[in-house]
Amino acid sequence: MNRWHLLYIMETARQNILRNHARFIAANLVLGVAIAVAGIWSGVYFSFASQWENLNTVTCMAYLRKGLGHRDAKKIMDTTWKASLDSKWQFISPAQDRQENLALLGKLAPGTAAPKYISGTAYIKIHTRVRTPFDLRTLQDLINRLSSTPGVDFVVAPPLTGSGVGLTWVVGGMQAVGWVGIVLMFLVAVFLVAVGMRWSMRDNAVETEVIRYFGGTPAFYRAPVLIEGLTGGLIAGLVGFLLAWLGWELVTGVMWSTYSIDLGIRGAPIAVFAWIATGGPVGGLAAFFLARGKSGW
Amino acid sequence: MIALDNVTKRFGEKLLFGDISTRVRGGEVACIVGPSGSGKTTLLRMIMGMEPPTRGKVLFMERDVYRLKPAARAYLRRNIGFIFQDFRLVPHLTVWQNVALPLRGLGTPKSRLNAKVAAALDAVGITGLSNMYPNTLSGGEQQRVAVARVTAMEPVVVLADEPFGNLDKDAARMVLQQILALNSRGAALVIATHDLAVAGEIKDATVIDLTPQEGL
Ligand SMILES: Nc1ncnc2c1ncn2[C@@H]1O[C@H](COP(=O)(O)OP(=O)(O)OP(=O)(O)O)[C@@H](O)[C@H]1O
Ligand SMILES: [Mg+2]
Repeated sequence: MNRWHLLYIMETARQNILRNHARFIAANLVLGVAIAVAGIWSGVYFSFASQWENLNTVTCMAYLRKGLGHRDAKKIMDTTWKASLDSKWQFISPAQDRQENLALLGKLAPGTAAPKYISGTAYIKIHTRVRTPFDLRTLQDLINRLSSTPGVDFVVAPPLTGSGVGLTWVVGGMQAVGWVGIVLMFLVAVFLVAVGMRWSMRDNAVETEVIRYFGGTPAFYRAPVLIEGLTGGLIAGLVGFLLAWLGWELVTGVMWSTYSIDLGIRGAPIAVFAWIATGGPVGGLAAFFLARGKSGW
Repeated sequence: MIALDNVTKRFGEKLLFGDISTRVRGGEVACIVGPSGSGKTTLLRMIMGMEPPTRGKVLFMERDVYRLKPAARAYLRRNIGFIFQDFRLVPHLTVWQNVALPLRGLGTPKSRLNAKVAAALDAVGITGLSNMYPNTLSGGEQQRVAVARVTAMEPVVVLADEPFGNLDKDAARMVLQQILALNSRGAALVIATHDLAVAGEIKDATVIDLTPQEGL
């Protein structure tokens, strides 16, 4: 290996990329998007895992009609939704300090409850295990059921409108894409990159043949294509990293402004994104082996 | 330099040639003769380490070629100059760059490289074509570029596949002289040709006849 070899390898790789640049950009962009989605998806899992308890708990309150005692309320709870929903609930007795109750209510559902209803009413505070924001529709379902429960007059719940609902679509979409989608996207990207490499191999066939006959080692004539793959992979990794970061800021921005629950998550999980971004070069390498195939090239 | 030890080549069921044994030393010439499709190119590729024999051994500088790793085989090839049946000049390189290509691969320093390329182009009389691209040259000129490319390498073995294929008598004779010049400097030379007349012009050549035998 001398300086000329190095120059030759770099120059050939550069020409390979320039010759089919549209294909190169498209294939690696798909790889980048796959990386970005995988990054956000893992970020959601890894960073939210520590906050799972907070995230899973949404507090709804159902006001029960005057005159219903503890036992009646318990019966309603048990028969109505205990079986299907993983909910914890507790009574807050009217005997408790009124100020305390008001403060609690105010904190849980700011501005929704008119204080006058509280007086003399037994109400139930329910901690519901709803995976916000993943299951906003489930939450809506719960609220509907609570409201239609006999004896319940009024339900206080976190707002479920506007961007919150929009967010369900984002998150629902990601859930649908999920790992299967990410893996599929990755495979498609690797396939596209490999097709491009095949083009490069074909375009350089005469030159490669000559180099082989004049004693070029396999490592030498393979190197430009390998570098083509790794360069694309690095770019895809970087693009994926930046897209993931940007996407994260957007999604969490919407989330924090929609939900008053403090999940204690601040910055984007850069380390997770960085790890996922290594999928770029790894994809490039995989494409290289795919492109070589059984051709013995 | 080169030894073939009972080599046989089959493609599937089809026998191409069987039990060929020969030895070509430095300064010697061997001619592979036989009609089209008889396996001349295949045998040359076999000597290059690119086409394993079905049976038998190929020795290059006393080493069993097909027991070497691919990279080691590649290093062996740096001692072999191969003249392709279809020239195989790299289309996007000039004549000068084509001739310099193997030398660059060998890591020849720039000062010596320039001198060697110039000498090789001069030896085959195409110095004036240095900056031309292969597709602008005639067949005979392209063949001479191919010979210059091998000359510049100063190989210890020269393998020439149909070097007179598309050339008229005079051009063929000129190319033959140039290839024989390499041989007279000590290189072992193997020429594959279906042209028995040309083969007959080479003195003291070992003949490897691949013409299929009756009943085989
Ligand atoms: N990889 C391969 N697989 C199957 N058959 C092959 C392969 N390579 C060559 N052959 C067959 O082997 C035979 C000999 O080919 P080869 O190129 O060696 O002939 P040749 O003597 O050089 O002919 P020509 O004078 O036309 O160049 C041909 O019939 C060819 O189709
Ligand atoms: Mg042939």
